[in-house]
Amino acid sequence: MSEMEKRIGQLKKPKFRNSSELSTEQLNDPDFRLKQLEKLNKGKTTITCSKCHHCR
Amino acid sequence: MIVHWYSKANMDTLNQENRTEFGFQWHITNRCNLRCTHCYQEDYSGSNELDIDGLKQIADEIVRTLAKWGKQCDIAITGGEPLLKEGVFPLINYLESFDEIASVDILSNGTLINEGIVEQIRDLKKVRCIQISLDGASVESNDAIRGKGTFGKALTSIRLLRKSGISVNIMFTLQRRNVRDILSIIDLAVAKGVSSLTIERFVPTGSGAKIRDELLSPEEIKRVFGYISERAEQEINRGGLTSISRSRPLWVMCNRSSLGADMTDNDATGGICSIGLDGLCILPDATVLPCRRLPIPIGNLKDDSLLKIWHTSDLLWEIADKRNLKGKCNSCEFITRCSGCRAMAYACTGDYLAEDPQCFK
Repeated sequence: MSEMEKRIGQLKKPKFRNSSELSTEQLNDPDFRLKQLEKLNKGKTTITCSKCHHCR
Repeated sequence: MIVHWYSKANMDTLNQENRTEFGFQWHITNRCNLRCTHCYQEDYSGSNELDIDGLKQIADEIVRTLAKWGKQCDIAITGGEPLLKEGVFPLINYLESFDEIASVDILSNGTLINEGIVEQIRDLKKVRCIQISLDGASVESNDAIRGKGTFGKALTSIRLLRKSGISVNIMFTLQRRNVRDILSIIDLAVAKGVSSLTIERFVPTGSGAKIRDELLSPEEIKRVFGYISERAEQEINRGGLTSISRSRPLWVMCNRSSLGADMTDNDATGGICSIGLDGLCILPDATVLPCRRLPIPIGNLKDDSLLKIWHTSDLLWEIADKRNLKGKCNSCEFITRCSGCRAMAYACTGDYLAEDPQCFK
């Protein structure tokens, strides 16, 4: 089995982070990641993917 | 401030007041009457699918989570072909009964829509748009990809829907064999009076993995995006009703502000992938994916709550932190406005953090 196949095999099983690895905000604020990105982007974030139904 | 960018024409149906805050692409069946060559599915058996009662339980889980978050969502119902699912309309009626669900779209291949179906769609309260797939601007080019007779059926569906005042989006998957149709598909969309045309890059996953040669090179993508951009600008300038979507990764490089001008509200090209930010994909057996074209399970709603998946999925944390991206994506000035297509990176390299192989920067 190649390294690539091994890696893809491992990805078939969902992996969750332990709650103790995450802050209260990370565990409760659904927009936490969006806000982090916003900070990186000086206050403006362009989100469009879920609006365009690209997957068909 | 979090800004959701919408193109000008889409603002008719998606005005700022109506904008939703979370999106689900929900595949309620994998059965399909077509076998399009580039399809991201491989299994069309319908095995392990939830029945309507099971799907309603998933809807309840979605609503409970949104209520806890104080959010609303848009749900795009799709398949396979969603109109093959027994009970699809009662399911949508059920979804419409919740305040947390702001709108519903139906993504269809357009081959099963007749006057009776249009009547049922018209009776729905929160349906915003019906998406019909076309992968060519002629019978020859479309049917070579989607199957014999599909072009005519899709056009009939679009005509019936438009006649009833229902918004239509055409989805076109860009690949080598239909790249020459790019300007004529825009003309067709405009002529048919659809609200929007989405041109999406082909990702070689699922059945599509067998036709990897259909991938365009970065230089070809750059050239095609240029043609599309020019034509999209013409439509905007002439006040056309059809919005040509340029709101996905890589498009930011066709943005006027990226070329040195100041960014304006009309400068709506470009968009970052929403993985881990504001949307999820649900499969017919309740498996949750970060995106339909990135086939890495991040949970299953039969066993895992949405809260658990959204807040603790390792993959979502990893991808949403753009500093983890590799190659030229990592050091790119557009990292927070593009970040490449993670599904494309995974399909081409096996590493979802790799640089987008079609990036032309």
